[in-house]
Amino acid sequence: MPKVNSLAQLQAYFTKQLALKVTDSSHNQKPTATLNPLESLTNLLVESHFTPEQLINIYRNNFVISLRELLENLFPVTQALVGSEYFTHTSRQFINDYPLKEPHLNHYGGYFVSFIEGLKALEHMPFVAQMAQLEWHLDRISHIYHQPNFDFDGLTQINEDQHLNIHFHLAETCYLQTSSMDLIALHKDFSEPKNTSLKGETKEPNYQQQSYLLVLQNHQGESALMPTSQQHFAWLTGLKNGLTLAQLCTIGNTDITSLMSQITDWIALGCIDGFSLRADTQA
Amino acid sequence: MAYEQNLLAGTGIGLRQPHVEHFMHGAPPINWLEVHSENYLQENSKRRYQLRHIRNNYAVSCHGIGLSLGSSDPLNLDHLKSLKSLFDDIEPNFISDHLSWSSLDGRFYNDLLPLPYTNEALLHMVNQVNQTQDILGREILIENPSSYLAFKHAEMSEPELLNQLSLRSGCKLLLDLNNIFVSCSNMNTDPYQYLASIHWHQVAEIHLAGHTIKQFPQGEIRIDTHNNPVCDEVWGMVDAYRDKLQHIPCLIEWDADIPTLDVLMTEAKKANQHLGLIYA
Repeated sequence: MPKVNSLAQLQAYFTKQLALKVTDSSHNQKPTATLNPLESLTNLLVESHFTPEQLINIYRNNFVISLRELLENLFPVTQALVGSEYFTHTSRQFINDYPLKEPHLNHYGGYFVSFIEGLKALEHMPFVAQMAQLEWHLDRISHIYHQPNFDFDGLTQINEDQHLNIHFHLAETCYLQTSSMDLIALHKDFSEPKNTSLKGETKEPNYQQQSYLLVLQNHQGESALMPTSQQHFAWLTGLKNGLTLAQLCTIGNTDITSLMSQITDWIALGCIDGFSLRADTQA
Repeated sequence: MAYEQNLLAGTGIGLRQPHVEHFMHGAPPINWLEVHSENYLQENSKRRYQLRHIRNNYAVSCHGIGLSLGSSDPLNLDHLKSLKSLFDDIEPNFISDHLSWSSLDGRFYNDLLPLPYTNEALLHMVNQVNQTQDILGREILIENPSSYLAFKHAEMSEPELLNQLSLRSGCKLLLDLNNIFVSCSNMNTDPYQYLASIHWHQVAEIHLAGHTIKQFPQGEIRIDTHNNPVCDEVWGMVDAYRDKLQHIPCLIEWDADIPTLDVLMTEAKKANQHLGLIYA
């Protein structure tokens, strides 16, 4: 029996056993690597009907399965795109390679997006990582408490000669994303049963088209996807980057009336929740 | 029936996301609610707003899994700060975590890992609980975990360690009867002996939950899955200890394969019946 010098040493042994990679969730599965026997916990455990590997596997599976279920719940469409088997393999690889570093799960899915982006096997399918990014923001935005309360009175008090210096604030419940694929159609088709015609023929949609989209929180407090035009996307990106109305007007050489009309719509949607005045920044 | 939002009495349920809207738009007749602290840490989140609203109508207990009190790592002060902010906001009736560890060298395992029941572990837990209570400015409750293994070099039993921990740190105990049954079944020990060893005046909350039996060629093992009704053996423990339990707030936990609110409330009602509590 190896000498246990301290609680810290025992916990180091235990976590080394836990960190061994397993290839499936079976309690009978043996780890694919072995440790120095001196570091093994085997001889420290009270004898039971089960092997030490089986017992430690219960704890290993508890945390691996809980993290995998978290990823499955956060990224259902990404999973549908790559297939369950590949998703399970990838999520297990992620859990092994990117340990949880916080005592809660609030950010763990965000790291999975970065992981997917770096996968060589998916480098010719960038839309998979884009979908993961989209699903992550759909989830994030659904959790934000947001009560739009735009200060219309304050806006009317701004002198007309200052209007071009107004910077409208994009709400934290808005996220912008662009893709060479039609992400909205992909999201819809892979999160719902496939449409079939009366003859039972499956329609083959064309996903190969540039898309500009806005994730926002609707008035029911749920996250929602909205397609937008290239021009509107550019304006929204400008708002996000702190541009004033004067600066936004230079994008697409638009006039202030058209721009303000669109901004009014975005205020109604809750995408813009405030404004500030900048120093004279007219372009 | 009037609710006393500052008094935990009778049987409550764990508040889970599928049921939140019921409590936002009404006041289902349940004695009190328990939430998982880690799900409510973000200050500007919808969940925090919902919890503030619900807290106006119900007594609430905040139950955590992230303090990792038994870890030989130092306490995670950032996490404690987030928890303190949540507790100062919500003013829960109880705060609890576990007799376990879940992290080492900054890596978290999202599970309740087993401690060796040694004098060293006891002293370590006493120190960690003392520090936690000092930082939070509040008393905490410590829950017994479900165990699937035990260490040969243990120097005391789990109830002995819990009793000593409570005595030395001033924390109270959260006794999970399902966990006792699961652990004792897996270790081939007597759950009634466990219950007889507990210093009941230190117990401030009871948990009841379901578990899963996994069959293997060598035999069966019970896994604490919280995805089933409370089993008959645990109801038997409740009946046997009714006189002590009926004065202690009791909770139905159900964390996976979550049923409708009606099913949970029926389970809570069943607990109140077993406890001999009568409500109008």
